[in-house]
Amino acid sequence: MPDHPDHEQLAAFQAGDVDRRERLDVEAHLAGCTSCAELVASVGRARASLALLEEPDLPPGLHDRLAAAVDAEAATTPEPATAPRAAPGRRARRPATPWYRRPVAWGAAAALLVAALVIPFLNQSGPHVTTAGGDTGAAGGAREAATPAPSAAANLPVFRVQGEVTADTVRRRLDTDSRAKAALNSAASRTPQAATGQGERTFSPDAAGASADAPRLQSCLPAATAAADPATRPLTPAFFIEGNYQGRAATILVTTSTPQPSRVDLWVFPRDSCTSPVLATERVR
Amino acid sequence: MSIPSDEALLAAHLRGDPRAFGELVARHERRIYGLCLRILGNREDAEDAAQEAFLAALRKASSFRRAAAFSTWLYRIAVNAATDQARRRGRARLAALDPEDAGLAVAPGSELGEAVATAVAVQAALTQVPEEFRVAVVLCDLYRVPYADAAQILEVPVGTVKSRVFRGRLALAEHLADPPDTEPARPSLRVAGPPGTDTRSPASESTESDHPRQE
Repeated sequence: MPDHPDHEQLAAFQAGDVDRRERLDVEAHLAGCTSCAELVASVGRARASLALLEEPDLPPGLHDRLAAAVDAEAATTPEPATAPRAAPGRRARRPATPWYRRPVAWGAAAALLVAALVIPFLNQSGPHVTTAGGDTGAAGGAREAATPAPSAAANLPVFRVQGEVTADTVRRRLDTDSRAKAALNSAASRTPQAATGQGERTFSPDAAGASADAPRLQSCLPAATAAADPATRPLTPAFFIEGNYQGRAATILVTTSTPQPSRVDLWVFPRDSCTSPVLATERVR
Repeated sequence: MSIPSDEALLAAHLRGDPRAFGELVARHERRIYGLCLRILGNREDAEDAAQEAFLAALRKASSFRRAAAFSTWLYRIAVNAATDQARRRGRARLAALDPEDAGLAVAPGSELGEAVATAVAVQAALTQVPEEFRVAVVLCDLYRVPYADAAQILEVPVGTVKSRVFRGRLALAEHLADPPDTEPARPSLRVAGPPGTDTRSPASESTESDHPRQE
């Protein structure tokens, strides 16, 4: 097959900025050239895989850190701003980001992330939590406890699942999908000690990373813990699932147990509503 | 009440409005952090780079010219901050990757486990892509910056941007097909393709364009 299109031509072809004749030429070539066709296909797949990367949330505390750094820098500039400091009307801190696909559950996922921040601390504080139940006061206390050291803990995944979620579907997935298994294992190995290693940075409680949805979700773990068999406490959160449970939109916390590391439990809450009592719980066997 | 444009806020800052620049930071911080995270592959470096980007923007504010959009100008500063950070830290590290750093891809319809795990794999593979290609892919494919704007940000011709994006995707495809943890001793990045393709090693990457022709 003579005259393979070069990268510039293939790039232009993929970008769609070739004229009709060039397009037909490239298409004709691809139809007869396996290596170029495979090249273009793999590039297309790579592009599609990028769609999986959502815009990340701002880490807790980064807004304050940036604001403080900018203020400090501004204070050293030769032309200090002298106008009276008006109370800033908080406008949209997060402007619309049209280029990112935004799943409906994104806000909830962000909130779950914030919820994930508090979890190792809840684990650490054992008895305090086991009596906490699911009330909002407990959630507020948890947030306060968590804010000094959120970074190591902020990696609790959220999985979206289409269709029914049951203990069986979770078990099958954990058995067949090594990556899901790895997510569970890495969560199980995340000890409270690991979470406290980064205490040197302090964050103010109302950091910009917090979502308005956070309070609804922060009490998932206390609520689950309150409902748990005492022998399994403290629970170790592994990940969240968003899916349907018996036909109802649900947020499901998946935990392992610190005293029983091989144990996996599902804690089912109404979607985005961890302050509600646990709807159901299932042990994954 | 109308919301002032970025450019108007910058002008207000330059007139001495003490909160205008902070408003600009608040508007763009998430995007700039995300850009840095995708380029650098770990949160700690991304936070440092984002801070450096905004400080650099503050220092350079008076040099902003309306020839470009504020966001284009800021992206250029952020890309420079991120690549400087990468040089300070050596090769972008993979150690800090976790699902959250990967942006918690929660693609509708994905099955349990696959979405997040795949997003982590994508970010891991992206971090393996040579920097100048990676930056182009992040800008154009993830942040949907038009090629012409990316050319301004990267200060290279548009054709170079397209080529880098294409080659970045190609390298990404290779790393996705062949993740580093299954083949840790992989000696160099193979950018396979039709004749005319060159071979690059991640260690030899440079910010210089390998397409030195100018428009």
